[in-house]
Amino acid sequence: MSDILAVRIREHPILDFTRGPPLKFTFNGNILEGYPNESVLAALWANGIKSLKKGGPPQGPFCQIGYCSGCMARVNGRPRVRTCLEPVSEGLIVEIEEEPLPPKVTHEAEEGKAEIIETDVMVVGSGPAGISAAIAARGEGLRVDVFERHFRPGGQLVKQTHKFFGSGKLFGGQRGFQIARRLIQDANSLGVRIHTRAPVIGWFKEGFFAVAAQDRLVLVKPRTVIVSTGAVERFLPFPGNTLPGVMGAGAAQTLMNEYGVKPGNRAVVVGAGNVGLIVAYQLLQAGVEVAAVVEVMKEIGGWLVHAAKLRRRGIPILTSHTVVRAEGKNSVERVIVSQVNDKFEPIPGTEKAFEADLLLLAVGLTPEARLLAEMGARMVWTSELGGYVPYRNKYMETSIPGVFVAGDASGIEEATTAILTGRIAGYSAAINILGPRDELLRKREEAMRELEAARMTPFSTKVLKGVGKVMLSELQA
Amino acid sequence: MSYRLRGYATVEELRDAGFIPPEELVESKAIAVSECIEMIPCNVCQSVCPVKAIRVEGLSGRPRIDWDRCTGCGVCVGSCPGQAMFMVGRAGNDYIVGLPYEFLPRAEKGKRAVLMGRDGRELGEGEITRVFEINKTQVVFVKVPRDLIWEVRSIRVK
Repeated sequence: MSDILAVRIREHPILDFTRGPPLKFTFNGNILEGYPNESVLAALWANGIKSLKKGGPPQGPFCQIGYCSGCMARVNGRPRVRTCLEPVSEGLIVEIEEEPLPPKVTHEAEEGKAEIIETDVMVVGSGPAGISAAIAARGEGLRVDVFERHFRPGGQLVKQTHKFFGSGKLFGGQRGFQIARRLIQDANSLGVRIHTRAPVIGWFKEGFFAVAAQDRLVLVKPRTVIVSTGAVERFLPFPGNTLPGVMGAGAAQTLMNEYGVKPGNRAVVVGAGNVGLIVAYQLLQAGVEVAAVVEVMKEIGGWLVHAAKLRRRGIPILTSHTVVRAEGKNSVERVIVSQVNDKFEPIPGTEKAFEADLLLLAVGLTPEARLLAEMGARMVWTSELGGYVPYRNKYMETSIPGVFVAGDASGIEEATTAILTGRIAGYSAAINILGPRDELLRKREEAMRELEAARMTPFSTKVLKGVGKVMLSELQA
Repeated sequence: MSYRLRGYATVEELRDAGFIPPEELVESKAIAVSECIEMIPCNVCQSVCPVKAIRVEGLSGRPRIDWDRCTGCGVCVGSCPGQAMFMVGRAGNDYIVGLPYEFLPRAEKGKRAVLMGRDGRELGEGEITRVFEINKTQVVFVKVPRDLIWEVRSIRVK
């Protein structure tokens, strides 16, 4: 099992992977090792297991944040468990699912057995937007309960290792995981109640939410709700896209930056927006070679400084190029890219093959706001914001009074704007409950001014256009 | 070819944007030079400069450096989130470039490094003369020939 050593990162220029004592778990009857605070999926990947599909061609996990279903397995007899959200524990029994379809319901919740939580502010999602909203509302003395499906809070900030742009006043110059740590510390010290492993599975018109906590059902009855459920990575259609080794850029970050597991040895990254450029740099830091970054547009999409960091390490960025297929038997072995014409169609005869065992898709994100849609918030497809988003007013209140949205769920931007829209939503929820106190209004105005300043970039033009399209006029102003 | 195709700005593009100081300035001392030519909403360099030699108009202006004031300390090099700040000029009898470095093996004074240009091309070798760290970014000062001070922007530590 010498492979285990090869894929676990021992030394990293930025991150410190001090692992606790190894834990033993079984996978299809074989004993494997994982570590505390590591997802089952990361432990499997570190042990060379890249597909959890029974029969047929192998299929790898794509998102590693609990959406794609590519990591589902039976865990301790529980069917259809997302192993990317399941922490390794001693003696855990993991098995490839026999049944490809969801199982029949085997038991029903007993009436009256659900725990009931009544709260002032319910926050769904504990990323930068949700935690910032929680801190703002909790700072006004309200009860705030945050619900997070993962076993650790922080959303996707915890796997960002680069220093963030921004005002020295805000979090500028700090690394994403440091910002996450700071936000969570602040939330905890203020008394925000953060519930991890607690996915919100639905809303009922009687006015409560169902949360599928580990061993019980929780019904949440909130006075106000802030939905900060983030975003999911986009997929691309091409032959071979289900091969293990094809994954979202964020999934590779999860493996290498959260768990210290190398996602592969040599990568091709699709997309030269900020996510693609940053993940390529992070791959180099984790000791993964980067064969190339390919970008279908004529120009690099992300900030020049991020591109320059790669170019000075000798990494090619091929503009007007796209991936045409991934090849390999049990996982990616080769990536074929091609130049494209003005209609973004591959030009015959321009194909290039790269030997690679990792193909990362960094082709954009789409807002995850289905909870709001279920609740009946007015939604609209807004390409400038990445997909379906709720209408909202400038105070981040949706078309449903007392229901707010923040962060990427309201439109794809970045962490600074997520923090600021979170703050605005948090203050708005507080104002909804406590009334329009001068001090509160002043704090909210300040956050709105900072948001405006953060959006004064050439790239913000598109976002601002999108925001303009979904803006409700003085709804509950 | 525009820099958004190439992935970096050339010395000529930087000079046109007013980012390259007069040659005589770098003969007397090492000074900070910025390659942050886009309008990024960020003013970390201004916040960290101990002698207030960097000014960012609004939050999104390009950094402007007062080269007379700059002491060449390198704090901005290790703090810039875009790794777009460098130290360039004379140090004693040598010419040096100070650059941000976040890779393994870690840089140490006295070690040698392969010098690389903005396109990753190898430009020779130099000795590391000074290293310090700001939030896990190493600021590495490396000796370079006079004619390469505007070219060397990365290293591979040997």
